Amino acid sequence: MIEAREFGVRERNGIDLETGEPAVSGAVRELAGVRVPVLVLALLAVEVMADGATHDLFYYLLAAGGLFAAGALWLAFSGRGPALPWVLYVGIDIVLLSALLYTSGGGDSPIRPLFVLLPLIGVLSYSRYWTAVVGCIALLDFLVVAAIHAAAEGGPSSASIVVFSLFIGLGTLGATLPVHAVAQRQRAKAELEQRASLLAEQAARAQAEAIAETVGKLQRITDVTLSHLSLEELLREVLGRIGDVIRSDAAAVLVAADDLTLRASGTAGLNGVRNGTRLEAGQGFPGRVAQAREPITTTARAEEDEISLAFTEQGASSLLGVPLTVDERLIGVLIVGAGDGRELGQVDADLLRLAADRIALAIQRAQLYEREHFAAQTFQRSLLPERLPEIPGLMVAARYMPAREEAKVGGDWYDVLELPGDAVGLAMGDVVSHGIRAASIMGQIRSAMRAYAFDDESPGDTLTKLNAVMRGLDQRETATAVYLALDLAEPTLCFASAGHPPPLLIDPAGSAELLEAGRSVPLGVDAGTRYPEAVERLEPGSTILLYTDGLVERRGSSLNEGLERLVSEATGQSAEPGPLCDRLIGALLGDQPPLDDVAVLAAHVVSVPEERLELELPCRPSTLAPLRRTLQHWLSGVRPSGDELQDILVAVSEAASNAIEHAYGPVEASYRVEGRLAGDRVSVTVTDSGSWRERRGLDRGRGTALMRGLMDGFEVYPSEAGTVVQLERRLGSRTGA
Amino acid sequence: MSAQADIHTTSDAHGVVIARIAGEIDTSNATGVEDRLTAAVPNTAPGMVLDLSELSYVDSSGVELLFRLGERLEDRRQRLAVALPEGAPIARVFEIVRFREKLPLVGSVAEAGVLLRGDSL
Repeated sequence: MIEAREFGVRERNGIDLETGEPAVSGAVRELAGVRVPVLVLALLAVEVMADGATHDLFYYLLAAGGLFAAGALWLAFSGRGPALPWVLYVGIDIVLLSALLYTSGGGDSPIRPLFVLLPLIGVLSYSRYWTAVVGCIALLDFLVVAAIHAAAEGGPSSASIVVFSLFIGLGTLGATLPVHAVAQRQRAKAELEQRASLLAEQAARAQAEAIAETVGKLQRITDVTLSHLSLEELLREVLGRIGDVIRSDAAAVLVAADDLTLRASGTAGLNGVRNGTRLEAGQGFPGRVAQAREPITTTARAEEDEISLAFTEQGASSLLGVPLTVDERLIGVLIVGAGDGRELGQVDADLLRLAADRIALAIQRAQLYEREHFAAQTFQRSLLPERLPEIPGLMVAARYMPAREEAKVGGDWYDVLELPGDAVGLAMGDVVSHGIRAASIMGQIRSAMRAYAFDDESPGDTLTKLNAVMRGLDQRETATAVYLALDLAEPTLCFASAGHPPPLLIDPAGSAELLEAGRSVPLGVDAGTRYPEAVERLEPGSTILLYTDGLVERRGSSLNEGLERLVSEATGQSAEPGPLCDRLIGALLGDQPPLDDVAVLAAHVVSVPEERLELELPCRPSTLAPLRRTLQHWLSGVRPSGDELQDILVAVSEAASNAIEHAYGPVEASYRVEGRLAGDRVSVTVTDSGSWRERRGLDRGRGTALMRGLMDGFEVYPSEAGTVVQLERRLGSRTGA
Repeated sequence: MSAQADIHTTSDAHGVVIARIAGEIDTSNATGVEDRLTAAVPNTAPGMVLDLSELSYVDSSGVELLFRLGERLEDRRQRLAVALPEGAPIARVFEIVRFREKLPLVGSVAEAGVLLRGDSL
């Protein structure tokens, strides 16, 4: 059929493919234009042939109907007027049928009653099938009427009636086709509008989703989980996320110093740039971005600074740099690069700028945080003893483990005091708060405790006075503390605790117990507290362990369980304080950094005679005198004569001096002194430690002579660790010495 | 803690400086002791006597310091003598390094004073 034909590619199904408007096909328009005049002319011709049987009303009716139909059709197909109302089609049909009735010459057709249905059919449907039905009925009617007239020999000629019938039939058919075209066009238009609104809705939703996604990505760039990261970790994470948002291949952040020099602080997808790479103010592409304070795009090849070259090396062709600013202050510069011919443009710049605002804030926060944390940590460390004193007869070691969460700098502290006489003070405490404030309070308590301790105050009195100090602080603060005074001559142990976890005592047989006596409330809680003290006998060979609660506190288990674990882990442990601290920390905390700061201090009372002596000392001349006192204490059990003692002290001191004098290097070296007592034989080896050091010989002329002359056995040999000097002396071997 | 050495100086009728060193000398304080001893001898003094009777510890660094001090005084035409009672615990160090071959080592300050005066005459 006609409408199924393709009228070029401009239109399909009545829709103009270019404009999306309903299209009126040329053929249909032609047909409609031709049909009306042809119909009118055909009717006039028939009328003339019908022996001048004219009727004025018929002419008027016919002319009005024809003009009416033509005008309506023209309006419809020109697309200017409203869509054809169905009434019009009914009108057209009525006009046609009235002409038909008139020319058929009377009411003698047997199928005439069917005509009544025709307008109804026209109303019911504009479909081409019904149009064909109307046309066929009209044709049939004409044929029947023609046959009747022919038989009567009184009407128009048979030939004229046949021609007329054909015109009428085809005309009716033709007249209805444009009607269908219009109807279809309207349907198509409605469909199109619906589809267009659907498309618009989809597009709007997609756009909203895209915006939401971008916002989400921007938020993710610097979400809250980043707030506890260090600057380095923060940048690594942020740069990875930028790659997702911008679809860039590589990115770098350069942090600006006050003089606007830039320092590479984090990169993603770049191999050639080390963190710390510096650019002078204004140097290269990043320098230009820093000076312009505006996003700049550039071609990677055009740039020659170290950063841009690294981007080029990674295959990036297009670079985009945005300044990172907070309140007009330049924090740094963010550079991203894209390769594979992708050009970074305005859209990327806008997006990256949004991201940059957030990143700048995050960097600033991380910088401030790092600065503050570093200051607090440095301050806190500076308040802990840098080195424990060497005390004859007492081996001490301490460990300090910072908390897992770097945000918290704890207020744990410890101290070892060499008091007048044979007394030694051991102290440990834990300020409740964290940060610089805690560290400052800890420093004040530590100073005050040292003052009272050197003033020969007893542990109970020391804590009582410290409590007064705490109460006198401007800001209310509490701290736990434990203070032990060891009398190595007796030996006894006097101690007092202000709410601190109980000290652990491991006796020479290896059985461990918590010293629960002498306990009271933490410092700073109650102004009137008098702190009681307790006294224990201290067996030579015993070890005392002080610790802060971080060692025994674990999530999900009670403090008592932690203490029980400590006792069971400490039972049977060897006496050496350093390894003891390490083993207990390993057993109670595992490999994980602790939740809270942990301080552990162990002191071992050397028993006399102790078979073995092991010391590790820093390579400093100041360790020589304490070393001699420790040796003297160690040797006192085997009762050497005055000369023998002197000879051994000089010889060991010479060996140690030698180790100290040859120590050099970037880190402070240490030396080991190991003593053995076997019957009347005393042997001592002095070993350089630090494998980074080249092995050396022994070039102390007189020192060597002394060692050889004073000892029975003297050997020097190189080992894995360094140079070993082995000395041996048999007691009582030199009569008259 | 560095070794502690206390130095107490006097001079006799002839201007000889007598320095009594108590305590210990090892590498941690040898330089300081040397400086203090050198400063204690005026140019006008004929020499110096070191009283080591109260020195409880000395090792090769102390011996070296004494030798250096002796040389320095000799450059200034001054003499150095060391007084150390026989049988003192530190005496063996001086024996082993053959101290007497370089500097006079006598049993008492009085002997040392006589020795220096005798030489200077």
